[in-house]
Amino acid sequence: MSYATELLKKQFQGNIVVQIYGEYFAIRQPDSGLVIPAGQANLVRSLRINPTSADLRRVNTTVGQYSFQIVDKDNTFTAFLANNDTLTGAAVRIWIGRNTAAIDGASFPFSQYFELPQTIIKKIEHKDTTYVFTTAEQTDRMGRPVFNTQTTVGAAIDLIATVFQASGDITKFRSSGYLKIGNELVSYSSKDDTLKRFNGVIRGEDGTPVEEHKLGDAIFEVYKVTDNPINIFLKFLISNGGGGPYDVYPEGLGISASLIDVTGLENLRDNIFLTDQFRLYMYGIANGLTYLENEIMFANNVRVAISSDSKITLALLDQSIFGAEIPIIDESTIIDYPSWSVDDNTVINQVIFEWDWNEGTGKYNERSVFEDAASIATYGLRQALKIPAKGIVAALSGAAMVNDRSFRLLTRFANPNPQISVTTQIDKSLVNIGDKVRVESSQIPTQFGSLEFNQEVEVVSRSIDEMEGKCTFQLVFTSYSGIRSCYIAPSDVILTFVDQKTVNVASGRGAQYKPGWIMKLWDIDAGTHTADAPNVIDTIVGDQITFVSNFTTTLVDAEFRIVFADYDEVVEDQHRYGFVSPAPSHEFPDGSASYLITF
Amino acid sequence: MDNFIPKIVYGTGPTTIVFDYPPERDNGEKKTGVKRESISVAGVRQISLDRTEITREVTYSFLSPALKSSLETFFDAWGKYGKEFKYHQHNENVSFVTYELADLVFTPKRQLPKAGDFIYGVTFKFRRYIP
Repeated sequence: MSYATELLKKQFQGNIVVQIYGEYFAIRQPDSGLVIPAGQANLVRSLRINPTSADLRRVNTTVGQYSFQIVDKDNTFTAFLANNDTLTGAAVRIWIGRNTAAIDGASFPFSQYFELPQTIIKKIEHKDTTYVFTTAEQTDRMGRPVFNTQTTVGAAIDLIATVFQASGDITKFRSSGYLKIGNELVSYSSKDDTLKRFNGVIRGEDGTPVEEHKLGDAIFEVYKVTDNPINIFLKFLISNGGGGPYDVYPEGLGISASLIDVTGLENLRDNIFLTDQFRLYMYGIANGLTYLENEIMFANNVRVAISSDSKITLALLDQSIFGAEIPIIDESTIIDYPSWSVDDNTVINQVIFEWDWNEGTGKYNERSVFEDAASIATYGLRQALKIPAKGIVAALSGAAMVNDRSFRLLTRFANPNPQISVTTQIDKSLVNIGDKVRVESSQIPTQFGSLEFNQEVEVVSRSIDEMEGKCTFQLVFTSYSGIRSCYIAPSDVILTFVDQKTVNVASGRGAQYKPGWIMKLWDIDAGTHTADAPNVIDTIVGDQITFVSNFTTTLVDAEFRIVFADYDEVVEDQHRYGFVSPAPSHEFPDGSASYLITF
Repeated sequence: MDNFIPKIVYGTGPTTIVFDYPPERDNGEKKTGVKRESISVAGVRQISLDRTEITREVTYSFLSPALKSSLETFFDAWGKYGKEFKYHQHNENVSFVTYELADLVFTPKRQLPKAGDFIYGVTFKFRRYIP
């Protein structure tokens, strides 16, 4: 039993547990696993997860906010507040769960509750015998100075000096590394903390100009990295004490790896950004979050987000991982008719990439302008979207990256794209910003002149009312919305079998199937289906597939295949795979269109 | 012993009010599931149960002026604040149910004149909940 499983139930008794100032409050006692003091167990009244959104044209991180209410019964909470010195700024933990014991007998333990990202109190109001709290995510820990070690020149430096005298403390500088003074990047091989000297200086590194430096000029310690952009993101967040394999930079934000969606980010890297390489010179960074937004996120069209397990992650905008399963929002969960709008102001038909940063000149070597001529002809030239990307360099296949990003942006924004607003029941509350969802509705206009909408779109805003059991999403089209994907249904020879319902397929092939799928038996020699009824996959362990029912046909090694049952016999999840549509109408029983392949 | 003559116990004292007779009318507890409901476009009904609201309406008749006065004090000092009290359906039994007043009203009705005063009747609506 998990919270995700419980969410699928349409009849439930929800619970919210809040830990504030070290004390627990709740709507009601959890079934098990936590005992809340009697006077605090029935006081929580509401919880709203206020809208968080991703701006498609800007990279700024939006901070998630929650608001909840605690009833001040008999002034209990007022007295409780009086005992706490800190009102705002205190940490709040919130869990969402279910009380199932009274409904279906099995208890839902507190350990299975879903914990929201931790927040801190920003505002407290008291009205109508109730305290209203507003809390916000703790992104503060990302917004602090990092790679900001600096001192000043202690004695004038001429054009040939190889020993640099500093005026201030240099103990925080690494024993060897790079320095930036004015426009010049230099390396040093050792330092003397007592004498405040950098020794073995090599001037004009990376083609920067050798310059004279005056007494009092700023000296920045530089950390030069060439790496995959997602690796840089991970190392930047985790280094300086976060632990694990990404804790490797001499400085960093020091966020614990356990608070970061490392696996998800690694998957993102390997699926989308595997070959990309960025080069960055890190120094004088006053705000770590702003730096990441400007240097990593904007250039890669990703945004900071919170994963479904409440960890820091990146929401990938306008990219789809082929074959990935995506949530379906259909009319079994949509509450009201969705609204649909198109705004002409969203058009972008010129993208300017500035890239290949030159540390010596302090300017970009490259400026690439991309335009969509058809869009300009129709809508006129709109204000350009300007993307500075210091990390993208020519020597690391930067041109290809710039072309790719610009193409995607123009494909998405050259024409006004619709936005959809939809409200669903609570079962979709784990859908997150940046997630791709398939919306199926009979009330959204399509480009085919109907209202039968069935497309993949992207979540750019989400709000949740836990008490009312409603989620509201803003969804936008992506550059690939409407593009049909073709999936080939798996079909495997039964190499061996255990019994009439347990079969073995070739190594690695078991992963191609799923429990719940409906299959038929195919006689290889006869070239036809057997007379067996469609059979449901019960379990899959490795390459061994067990069906719910026995096949009536006596199985023989390597003489039969398992294949998808017919289109109108399979479950919805199987419909995205290719099927042969029945003659003569060539339309599927649910009205879905068929395609004609010609040569 | 089940005598159907109730008593109310309230306050930190506590104070006990013992009735003289069984209530004229006591229909027992009425349960209502307080819910949040939404129905999807396709008709799937989502119900989120907030709590079970339990009410009980009891009418007492032939209350002496002294008993009416005790109930008025109970209302003024305790009941109208929504505070909980113990209701023993049988005053000689230890079992009780904890209620609070649902409607914060006290409306005694004069039934008969007696010795310069009246005999009264009053109706209370009790409330409790199952979270």
